[in-house]
Amino acid sequence: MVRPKKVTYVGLMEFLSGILGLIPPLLVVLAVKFPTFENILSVIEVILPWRGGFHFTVFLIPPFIFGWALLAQEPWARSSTVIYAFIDIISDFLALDMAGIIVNLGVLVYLNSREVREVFAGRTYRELFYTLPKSFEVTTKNTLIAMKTSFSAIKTPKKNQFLSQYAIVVYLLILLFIAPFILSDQWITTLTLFLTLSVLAASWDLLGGYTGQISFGHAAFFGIGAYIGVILNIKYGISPWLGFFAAGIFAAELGILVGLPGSRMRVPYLFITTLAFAEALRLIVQNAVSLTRGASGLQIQEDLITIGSDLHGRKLGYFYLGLIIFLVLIVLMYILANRSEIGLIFKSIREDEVLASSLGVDTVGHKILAFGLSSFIAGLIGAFYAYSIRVLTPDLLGITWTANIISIAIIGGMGTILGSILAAFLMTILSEVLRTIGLVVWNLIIQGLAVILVVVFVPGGLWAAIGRLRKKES
Amino acid sequence: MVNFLNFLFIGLVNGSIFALVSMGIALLFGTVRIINVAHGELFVIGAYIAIVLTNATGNIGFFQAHTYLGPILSLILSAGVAFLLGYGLDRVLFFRIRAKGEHIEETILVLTLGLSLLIQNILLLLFGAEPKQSATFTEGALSVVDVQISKARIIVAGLAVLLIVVLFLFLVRTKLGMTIRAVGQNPEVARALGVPADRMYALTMGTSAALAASAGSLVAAIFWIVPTSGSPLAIKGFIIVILGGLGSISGALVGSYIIGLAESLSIIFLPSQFKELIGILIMIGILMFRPFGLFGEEE
Repeated sequence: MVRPKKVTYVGLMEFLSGILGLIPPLLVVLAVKFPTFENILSVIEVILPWRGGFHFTVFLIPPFIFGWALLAQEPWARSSTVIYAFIDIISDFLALDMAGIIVNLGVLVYLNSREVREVFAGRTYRELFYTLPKSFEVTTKNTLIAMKTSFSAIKTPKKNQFLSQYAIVVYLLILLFIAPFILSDQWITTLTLFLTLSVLAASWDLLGGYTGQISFGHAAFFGIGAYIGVILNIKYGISPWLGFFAAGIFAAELGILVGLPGSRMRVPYLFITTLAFAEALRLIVQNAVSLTRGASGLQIQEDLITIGSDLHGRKLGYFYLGLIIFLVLIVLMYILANRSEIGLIFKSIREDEVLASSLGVDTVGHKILAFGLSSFIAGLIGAFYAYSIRVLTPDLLGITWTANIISIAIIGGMGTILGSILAAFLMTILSEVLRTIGLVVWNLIIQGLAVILVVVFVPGGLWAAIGRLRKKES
Repeated sequence: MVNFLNFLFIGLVNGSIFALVSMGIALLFGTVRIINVAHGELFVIGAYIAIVLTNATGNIGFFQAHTYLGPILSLILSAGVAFLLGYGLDRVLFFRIRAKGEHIEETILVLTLGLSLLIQNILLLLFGAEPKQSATFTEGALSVVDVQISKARIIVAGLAVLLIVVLFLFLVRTKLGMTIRAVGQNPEVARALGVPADRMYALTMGTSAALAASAGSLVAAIFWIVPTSGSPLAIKGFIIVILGGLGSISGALVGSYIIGLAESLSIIFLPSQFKELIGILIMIGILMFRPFGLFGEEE
């Protein structure tokens, strides 16, 4: 079941999932036995009001770990997810949670699809089903082995799997899920900004890092998404949930509008075109005072989305909503860029456009596609940012935001998607720390310096640097 | 009529400043084939050198007696400092990128973006966010056909035109200038003929930086400067350069005056908030009919 090399990493994950997998049915039993316990749970329960029952945040961790691992095509991922889905279905059944059952059945069907089976060749669902008790046994054994080896791994860092780039991202995600229970509101706001920035940087990376179209107008799509999402609601009363998609689609249309001429341009021309486009859009937004209230800024009086926003008076709803959007978009982009044909085509365009088109690749079409996708995501996350921050100024479309986005994508590593997450995390934490100790200016000095150092000395950015460190060790 | 003449004059002064900035961009792209995103920040460096120098020397008797000397001295000094900075940047950073040989344009774009962040915020750290101005060349205004024209602006425009002429003479008449242009046209052949192309690239970068900084030191006398003043001007410079034909210095010169005049004259016909949009609209209009700009050649 497990490759010996991966025992440490895999085992601990299984261990975690095993314990967490037991929590849902346990809580159900407890809640039925002690009615007061239910009250405590309802306090802890912060999100997903549309899913009844006893789901609270922690329950979401294993699926996301497994989802992530599935993407990384770790050999253990499929079986673990199948097991978890079974446990979850039982707990959903006890909690009378139809939505949960449907979701989990969907997961099972997906895992059983040919596509996934081919990736994890040799282990069918049927086989798993019959050997389910056995795999629990294996899990327990592996856990013991894992705990032993992980202790020895601390002593001998040579075979350290805990520091792979993917592992760091997973740690970060776990940290994010637990964060609201530990951190103060100020930090939750920072983390919400981090979610926004990392999606933005990743979407720039999809365009700049994969197809090589360096756009200096990315903030325009983000900002226009923010304005569209809010104005549709304030002026026309359209639901903010629809606003997300309206913002994304409007931004995508603008992106395609830029991409149409932009896809035929060389880098310097594209640079100036995108820059001028963003500047024009910023000026239009600034001067359309009747809609946007111009440079003085558009303020939203009350929360447009009111999910779980009044838990102990804390605004956790937006954080968790952001986290879900973040996960969905990042996973989407990661699959698109690294595990799909489109991603391959994007990379081929970056490496040698002439060669790619001579091999029959529709380079222009795919470059426009990249523009559309990237700006769709920027617009969507822009609407989210607008709902959560509630103050909009035309600066959102300006060069300052673009510079921030690009530098984060560069520091994380161009053409990696996930690198943006690490860089955005480091940069937002750094900026918040520097802000609290009153050294705001140093934040951007460090950021600028980091960009220069990364470009000159660390090709591939943070992501590649961590990978190289690991290779050196083993 | 008075209004028109007044705006015409402002347009010409602004055009001269734009010309200094955009010709630096055009020279750099025409020769080294790169775009320096931090061009606006070099402009601001020049402005702050002028501010520090004139404010520091303003009280010394010698400079008070010779009012023009302080500003001219600071112009020369800021151009010199920026030249060394540009030369050093090329030698230390850009050189390494060029040596790698692939994705040069993209890499230098993002590298200079980092540079612009760095410079902007170091200036913010040193000088704060309050607007500053250098000691003016001179007070008062000339009166031409009922139009009040400030003397300081005349001097600024005059010095800018002088610098433009010097640049053209340097590129057309001197051997070094011709070598730089030769490297720009065909680096391989130039190398084969024994031209040290990398040194020429560094010199070009230095010249480009010096142009931006001298524009800054001139502007500091008539406008208020903050550390972020650079990027709007640089964006305008990039637009002008595209409009004139990327890499064409004469194109940049003509484009600067077109944009400068169009912006200031537009105030007569349009609400002032459309002023900034005019440049972009003109660029789009010209690119529709000439995709490679006014003076550009198809690549």
